[in-house]
Amino acid sequence: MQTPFTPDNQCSAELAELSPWLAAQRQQDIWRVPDSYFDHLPDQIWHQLQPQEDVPDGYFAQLPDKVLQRIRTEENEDPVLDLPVRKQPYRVPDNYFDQLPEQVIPRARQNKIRVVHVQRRWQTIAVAAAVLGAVIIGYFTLQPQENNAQLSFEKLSTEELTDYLASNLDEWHTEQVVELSEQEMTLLIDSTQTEEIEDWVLEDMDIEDLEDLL
Amino acid sequence: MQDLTPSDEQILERFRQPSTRESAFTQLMRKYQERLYWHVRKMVTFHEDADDVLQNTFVKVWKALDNFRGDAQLYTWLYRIATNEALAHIKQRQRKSADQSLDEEESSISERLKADQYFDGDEVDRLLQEAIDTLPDKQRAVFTMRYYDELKYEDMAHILETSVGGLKANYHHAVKKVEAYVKERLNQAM
Repeated sequence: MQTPFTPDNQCSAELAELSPWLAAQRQQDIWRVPDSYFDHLPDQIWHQLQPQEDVPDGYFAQLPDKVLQRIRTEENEDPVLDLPVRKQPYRVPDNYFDQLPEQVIPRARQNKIRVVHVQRRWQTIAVAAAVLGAVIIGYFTLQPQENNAQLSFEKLSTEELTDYLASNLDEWHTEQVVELSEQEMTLLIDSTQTEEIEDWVLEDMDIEDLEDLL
Repeated sequence: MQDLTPSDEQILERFRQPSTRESAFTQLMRKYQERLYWHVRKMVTFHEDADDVLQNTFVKVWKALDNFRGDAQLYTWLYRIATNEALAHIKQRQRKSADQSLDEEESSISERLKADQYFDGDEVDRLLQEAIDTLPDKQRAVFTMRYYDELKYEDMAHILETSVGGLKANYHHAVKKVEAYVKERLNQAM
């Protein structure tokens, strides 16, 4: 496209005089422009002339919290995940951890969530009864005779029995009770006192106290 | 066929009216974009650079057109802004390559032109562009306006706001330097 200026008709002659070689090299068709460039140029310039968009309302007030949240998120990323994975010999059932919360939550809503297997519970009670029976027999045997008439099992509090067991624990290990002969066990179990003790253990004594003692 | 292109006076009159301000400026861009583009392109060589310069030019025109008093022709004023933008762009480009040696800079331009899909010149044309790129600002502006567009010294004096005598001296000097540069490179290649 021609310039808006009137060309100088002396220009070629001047150049030919200054540099004939350069005058011969002059070309005008060495330049090209992308297709449709001029069709879109005004729109591009208008786009530049549009005022910059304002930031959303409250943007700067929320910015510090957003930055802190992002920092915390990045800091909490487990660095272990970036370590080489060690081969683990353990496996869990498929989807175990996915289902675990669903299994735990209903149980957590129950009043007592302590898990005690029935078989272990009765074993514990039996052993406790045997120990307590042996303890009580020993207690009455070792006490002066004149006190026997005044003592009865019902008068012993849980606290007194607990204190006695705790102070004599070295002498009455579970293993000793287990090693009692069948005759001795029968003697213990058949005794009226033992029955009383067993009833007391079953009805009144907290299973957790027994487990702690044993 | 009737020329539907509005005159500069019509464009300026419509620009002064708030209701037609934007459409008048669009008319101005459409009227002068190609002329200014080719003027700029021959100074900065590459299309991408010319595009940057041209957009910056029109943005400045938009901001300054209210202050245009008509002391010169509108197109002379537009060419002045475009020329100054082009020279500023070239200085910025040269600052970026300040860490490179002169040979590396020239080599870079030559390599870019070889790969430039919007440049169809041969080796002499590429060397000519390299030579122009070595010229000082005023010599570069005068050489491209006179060599490619055959502008009168008087018009160039209005655009560059300088004297005709100084422009003639600059042009003569630029022609000699460009010829020497290209011939030297061609002789080295033989």
